[in-house]
Amino acid sequence: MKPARSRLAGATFAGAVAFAAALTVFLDAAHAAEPVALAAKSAAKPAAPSAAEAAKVARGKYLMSTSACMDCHTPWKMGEKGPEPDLSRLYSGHPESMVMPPAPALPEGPWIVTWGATNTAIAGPWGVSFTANLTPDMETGLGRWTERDFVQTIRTGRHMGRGREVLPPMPIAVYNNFTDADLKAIYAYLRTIPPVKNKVPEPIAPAVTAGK
Amino acid sequence: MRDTLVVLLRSLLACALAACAGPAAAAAPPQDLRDTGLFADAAMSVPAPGVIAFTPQYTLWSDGTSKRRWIRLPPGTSIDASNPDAWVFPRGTRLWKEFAYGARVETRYIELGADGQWRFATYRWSADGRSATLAGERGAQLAVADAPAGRYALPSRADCLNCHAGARSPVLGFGALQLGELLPELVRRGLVRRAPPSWRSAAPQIAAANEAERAARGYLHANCGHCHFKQGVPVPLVLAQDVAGTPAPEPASLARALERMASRNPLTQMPPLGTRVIDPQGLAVVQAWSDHLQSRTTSPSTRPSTQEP
Repeated sequence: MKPARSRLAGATFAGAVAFAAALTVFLDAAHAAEPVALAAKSAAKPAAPSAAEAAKVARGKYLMSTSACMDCHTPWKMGEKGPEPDLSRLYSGHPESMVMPPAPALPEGPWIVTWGATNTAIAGPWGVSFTANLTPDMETGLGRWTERDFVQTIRTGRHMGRGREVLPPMPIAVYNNFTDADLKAIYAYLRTIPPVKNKVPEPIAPAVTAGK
Repeated sequence: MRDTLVVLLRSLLACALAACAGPAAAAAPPQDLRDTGLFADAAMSVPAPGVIAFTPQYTLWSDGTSKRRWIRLPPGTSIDASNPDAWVFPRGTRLWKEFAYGARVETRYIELGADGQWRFATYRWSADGRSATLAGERGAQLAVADAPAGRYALPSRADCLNCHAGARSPVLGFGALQLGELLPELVRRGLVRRAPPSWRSAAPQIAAANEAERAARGYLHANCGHCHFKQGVPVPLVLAQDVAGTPAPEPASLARALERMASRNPLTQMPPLGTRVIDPQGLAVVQAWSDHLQSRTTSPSTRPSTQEP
């Protein structure tokens, strides 16, 4: 019998993959990604009515909750009825206090990925990635990020829209099917959740994690 | 004479096709570098009339390639320098940057379209150096004997956006602090307008206490400033230089930046793309300034190593 933690990770990963596949099918041509348009001059942004802003935030919350974001960006814990997201750390990424030991060496073969019990640390051929703090904390989250930084990160697959590559298992190719309006709604929603001070570790390169 | 006629005919054909096809077709970059209007001759060695060569005072490190750069403004237009740190270019502006390891490898091209959108493309030179054709949007890895490890990376279209899209101006390396003696000439010719009157006689310089500091600031401006400017990448480290002057970064932050400049681990290296080899000279210039800043903020008895754990 698999340990509970393995079942947790496996089940959640499978769910995420299944959802990602469904999402890809769901997003039809009408929702195809809009190309990143770089305007020579930025047009003045009209003031959005509060009802429209509320609808935008609600749309962002809906997209986040139906796009498997919770599975990796909120640490999971073992509850009375089994694994569940720790909502006190909503979207705050890999817990700073959880220092991971070296990833186990896997035998030769097609098994290539190891997931931590919280679903927030993932080891694979790319090294070890830690899921990001998406809360609006100014020092450790997305507090300083602009909407453009966020949209560009998904569009380019690079951290902050221009840094290192965003690592697996973040399904950039799937989320690139979001429209700009979708991504802006998600950003708007993320500005409304409680900030959590949690400095996620930097990713670890493969050479350091080769545990054989 | 025959070359000139061929170029003229090509240009006329390109204009006619653009006029017939309308704005939608104009969005796609030409398949052949010849049709971008850079060169006047069939051998692609003589810049076309109106094309201006320039060399920034502080250059972007590109793994030791030799580079040439050009700009062309549509006739009768000018650059608006109202914001001295973020120039606004007229529609129809075109820029080229050629990369070579002995032979030409790649020419990058950006254009501000009639619709106000910047477009980015790159052209791959043939082995015989006689033609350059549009590279794919996903970039490519080329075998180039004189490049580091014999490999050369053509950027993808997304790579172009990574550096150019979020910058203060999508045009990098052609600004008030970069053009030196060329700037007064451009101002006097009316190609740069709404500029301070002093620019007619001398270009502004990066504010610095001495030439060593100016060189370090200039290096950081050229290599890091397109992301690390006020309102830029959301980290508290400003390395872009303003015409009005820029405060020195916190010594600890600069030391951390140096660690990343000295890395080519893809997860931590800076700049994050466009280079696979550390620039030893650039590193030394910035290291010297960093050491100076550290020495000013710590007493000799408590001064820590510049290398953080």
